[in-house]
Amino acid sequence: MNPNVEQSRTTATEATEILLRLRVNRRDVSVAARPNATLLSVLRDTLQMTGTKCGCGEGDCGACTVLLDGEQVNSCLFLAAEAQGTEITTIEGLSPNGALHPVQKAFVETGSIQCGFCSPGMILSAKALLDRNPDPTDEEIRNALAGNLCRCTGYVRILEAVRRVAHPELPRRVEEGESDDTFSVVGKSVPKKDAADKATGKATYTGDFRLPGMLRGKLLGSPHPHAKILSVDTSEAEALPGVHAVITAKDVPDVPYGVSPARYDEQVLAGDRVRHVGDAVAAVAAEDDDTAERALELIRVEYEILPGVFGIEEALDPGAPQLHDAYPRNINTEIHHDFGDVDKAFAEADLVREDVFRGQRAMQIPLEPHVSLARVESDGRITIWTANQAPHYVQHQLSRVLDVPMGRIRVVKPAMGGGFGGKAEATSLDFCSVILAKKTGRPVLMEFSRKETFLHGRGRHAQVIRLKTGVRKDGTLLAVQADITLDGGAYTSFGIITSYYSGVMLTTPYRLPNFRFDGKRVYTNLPACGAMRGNGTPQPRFAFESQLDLIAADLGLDPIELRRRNALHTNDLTVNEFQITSCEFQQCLDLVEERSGWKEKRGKLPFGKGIGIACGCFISGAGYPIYRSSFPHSSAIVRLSEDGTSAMVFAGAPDIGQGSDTVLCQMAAEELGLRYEDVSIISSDSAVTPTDLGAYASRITYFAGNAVRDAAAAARRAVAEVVAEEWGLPVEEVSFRNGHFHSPDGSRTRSIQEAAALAFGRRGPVVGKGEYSPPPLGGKFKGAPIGTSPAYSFCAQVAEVEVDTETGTVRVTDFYDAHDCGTVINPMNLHGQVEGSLVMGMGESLWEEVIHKDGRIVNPNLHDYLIPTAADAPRIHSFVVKSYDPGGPFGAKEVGEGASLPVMGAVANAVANAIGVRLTELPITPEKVLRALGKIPPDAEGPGTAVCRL
Amino acid sequence: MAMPAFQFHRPRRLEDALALLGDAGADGLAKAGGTDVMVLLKHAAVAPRVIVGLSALPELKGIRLENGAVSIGAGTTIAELESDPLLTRHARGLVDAAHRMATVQIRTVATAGGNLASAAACGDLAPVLIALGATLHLRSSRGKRVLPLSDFFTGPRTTVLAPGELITRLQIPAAEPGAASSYVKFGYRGGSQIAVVSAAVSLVHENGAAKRVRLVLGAVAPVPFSVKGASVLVGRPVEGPALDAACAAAASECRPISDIRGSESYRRAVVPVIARQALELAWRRSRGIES
Repeated sequence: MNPNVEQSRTTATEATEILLRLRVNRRDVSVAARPNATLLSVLRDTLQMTGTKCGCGEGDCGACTVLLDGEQVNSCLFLAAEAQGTEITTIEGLSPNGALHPVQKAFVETGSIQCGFCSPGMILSAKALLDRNPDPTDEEIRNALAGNLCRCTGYVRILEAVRRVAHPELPRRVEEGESDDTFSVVGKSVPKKDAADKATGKATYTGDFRLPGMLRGKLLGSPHPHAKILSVDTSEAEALPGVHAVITAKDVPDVPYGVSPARYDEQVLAGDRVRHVGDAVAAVAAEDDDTAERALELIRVEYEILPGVFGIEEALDPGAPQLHDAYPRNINTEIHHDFGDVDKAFAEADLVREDVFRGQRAMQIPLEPHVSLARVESDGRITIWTANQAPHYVQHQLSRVLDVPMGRIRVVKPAMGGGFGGKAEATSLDFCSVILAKKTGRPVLMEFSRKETFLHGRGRHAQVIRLKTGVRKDGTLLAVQADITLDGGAYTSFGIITSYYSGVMLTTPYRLPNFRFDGKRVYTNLPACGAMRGNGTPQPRFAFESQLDLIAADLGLDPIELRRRNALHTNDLTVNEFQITSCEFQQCLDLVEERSGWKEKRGKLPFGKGIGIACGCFISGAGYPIYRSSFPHSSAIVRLSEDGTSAMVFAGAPDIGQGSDTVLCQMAAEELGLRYEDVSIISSDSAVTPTDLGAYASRITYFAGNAVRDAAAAARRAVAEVVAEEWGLPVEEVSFRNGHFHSPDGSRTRSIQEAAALAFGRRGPVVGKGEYSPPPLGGKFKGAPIGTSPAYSFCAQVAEVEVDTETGTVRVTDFYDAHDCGTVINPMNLHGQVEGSLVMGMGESLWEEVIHKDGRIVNPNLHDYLIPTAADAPRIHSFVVKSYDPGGPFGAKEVGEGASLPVMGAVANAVANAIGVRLTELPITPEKVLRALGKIPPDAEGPGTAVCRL
Repeated sequence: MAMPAFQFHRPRRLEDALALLGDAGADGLAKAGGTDVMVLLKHAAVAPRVIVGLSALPELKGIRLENGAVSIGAGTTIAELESDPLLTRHARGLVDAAHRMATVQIRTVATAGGNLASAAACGDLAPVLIALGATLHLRSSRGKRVLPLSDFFTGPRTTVLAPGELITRLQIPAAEPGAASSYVKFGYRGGSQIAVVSAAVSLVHENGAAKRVRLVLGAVAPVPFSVKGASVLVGRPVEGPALDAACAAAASECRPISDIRGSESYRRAVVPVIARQALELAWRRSRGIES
């Protein structure tokens, strides 16, 4: 053998493992690996160092970044064999003695970590940059981090973290909305509970579990958008060595499932028909991913191809192929709302405008793809770990479909890499991992690839929005008639709810006495659309906020003034019966007008530069659950430790990266008089945490917050009773402040710690429980529950843009957001949510679109589906106004989705202001801008551009 | 995403690599940085039986000035191109192109030779290297040949490389006095973008006029190509009607396709804008106005 050639020990079989000598984090390790093994798979699977993540497998996202000899590399594209002879540094190597590396520390302290899935890679990229360039410019930082995608933070704080490492002397940023001393823990920008674990790679995400005997499962998806399944032959796949089980429709219950009980239209595995490319037909469990994927190739499915429908108009066409027999003309749902007297109002209006707008199909792109891991316990109980925003609904659906009582199903949501609405329902991964685990007796881990997340869908619906709006000369809104049609894809998912939301929220944040809404959701042979951040409302907001600017121009009014004249106020009841319990929307308008320099800029900027406003209002949790249930919407237990020095919160509420664990701990600490550091949380493990409906509808701060606050108060009362007993006083005479119980005359005090220890000694476990459900809300008409909420947040946003009128490129330079979200529990987290919303919304405004041709998605990856990078992040100015909601915990309301509503409208209005032409279709791509500017011959082929001349 | 099975060799001498590739024939694949090939492998777009990794071959490394030319090892990484002082002096446009390619993670690993061999129509290095008059040195177990880069590409993702043949070095003439080059890439995002239109320029300035001008466009034809009409600038300053005419020629000579990044007509509209930016940048550089 030639000594100058490193090669496999024998080359007779290609699968023969070779011995690799690697140096990882300053330690030499020898591992046996196949020649084709990537460095990522050797790190994660062979060495079980799971701090390095996989978000795409194609070198686009950077979650797998490691350092080779100090330089950033995508380990998913690097053969392990070629890493020999280099010094490999993974995130685990950055804090060998447990002390955070300065970059990790800065990420934790600046709030740069939300879901944390990108953090290990991002931190290593930052470290590599700072090692070669200790004082990088802003551009150099952005360039170094542009290969690490983040979907949560909008990059603002990450860029700041790197600057702070380079310049430790910089003073700590004072967050807008830092509270005075009303509270001791609430209102403070404490670092997230899980930030350090996420910074060091210790946080265990679902895909990081390595259980003994664990198998890997994979789904076989349909290659056709619409077809009958004639036969499925799994014999060859089953015969492949390393394959443990193959299942098809005949092995799974024939029980349809979904989100809305009225529309359970999905099957665990398709039996007779597939309705979109990727529709799951079979599943395999095997020793490893490679074997599972090879087995999929050996499954023979005979299809009879059916004609498909791929757009709204096509689907509604009489004679169009039908997706579901029960829904003729492919109409999944129809909505007809009519409040007040719309026709009379139009007749009386001084101006009536009719405009049509279009919103695109978009995707959430959390950095962590969907993943489930199931294990069947010896007594038959099921445990499933799942990256899911609503684990309770997974438990509910598993119970329904598999006919197992909920009490025998344990659903755990480990650390989670974001969701944004795309992981809010049970998937075939959840069902199949459990069924395969039952069948094999082994734990089964199933993950989507990035492409599969696109084929699974559940992103934002494409919408066609027709708006007719009547106003008085002074700008007073008289009536809106909205006709909204949504392209739903092949199944219902959240679509009924999304369809309602698309219209009903148009009665906010402006007073609107007359409102008519005709909605329609249409089935097409594309992946199902679901509940992406803002669930149906951001595109109609784009439409309405665009139309308001058109109206302002028609009437000669300033756009902010027009909005101010119509603003909702506290105690308003909207025409569709939403009760506004607190509203500081006018303050938002005033603040954003002042801080953005609106008056100095609007109308005074040169051609190509523009400034625009848009506003929004969102629910702080939904008034009603998705399925009828007597359960509280949120519930929690708080337990003080036996020695009284700490407390543990048990709450079903899932932290998916948004920081709910942190704010719930802050609320418990405040109520108990403990320090933030002394309160911990176990969330989303149904074996120990009581039910919560989940992380959707922006509900956790308000709903779970109330439950946790009540639980903490109950725990404190239990302690107070023992103190009262000891002091011989009635319990109501014992007061509590600053962490101490006091007798009325002040002669006796006891700290919560001493008192809790005493209470445990006398009465056993010191536990309090709390639950929250909103009061009955809303009207009696069909669909009245959708849009009801115990409280509404409000915001006003201004965008500033620069348009390159030669190429059509739009660059957002600045966003200003003023928010009424009630009392701020954690300003750093809050601004992080706003920043992430703005940058996600910017991507949707400018680039993001799922493009499909003949039912096939053309861009199911992160180099063709473009989300913003660190190089694109605009300057963000996030403000909060003073506000208090009477029903919210400490007066708090939501922020996580509300901030995403106005973005597309603000950008569109700014672009119109910059170039004098309004684009009415999202996204506002350079090509559409250039067409709108008349720089491409109107008859030239390419996407049409709907515009309004101003 | 699963990787297909293959034998992997990582030779330390060029002749061993060539022998291995020669033996493997059409079943063999040379892998440099692998940032493109690994994705193709995962998508089963290529399915070689044997992969020969080139990362340990010293013959493919190094950037040096020899015989009046800059010789660049095909295994030079994009990051090395980005920071090389010799290239900054002789081939500034190549440094621009390296800097604008993909992400730091990709640039750390991807190589000059690999980028050319992958032959994507939107590849960043080819336009500027063609503008600079680069030649390629190819080797196989059967021999060696040298050819101009402009003759290398035969279509999107196809080249004249025979099975078992490797790019070993790239050569560009050393910059003469008054020479300057540039690369302007137009894409949508600020970071990690694929070129929608790109333009590279190499020119020599003499007494207030362009003595030689080469304008090469990328991503708007099956392969990068030189704009013939740019010759209108020879003997003239790069400005005014001549510049307009060169840009108009760029628009009329390009043959873009419509894809998800833009329609043919959009690309045709943007080509003269980007061509002008590249020409003006090189012209300024040639007069020392912009380094």
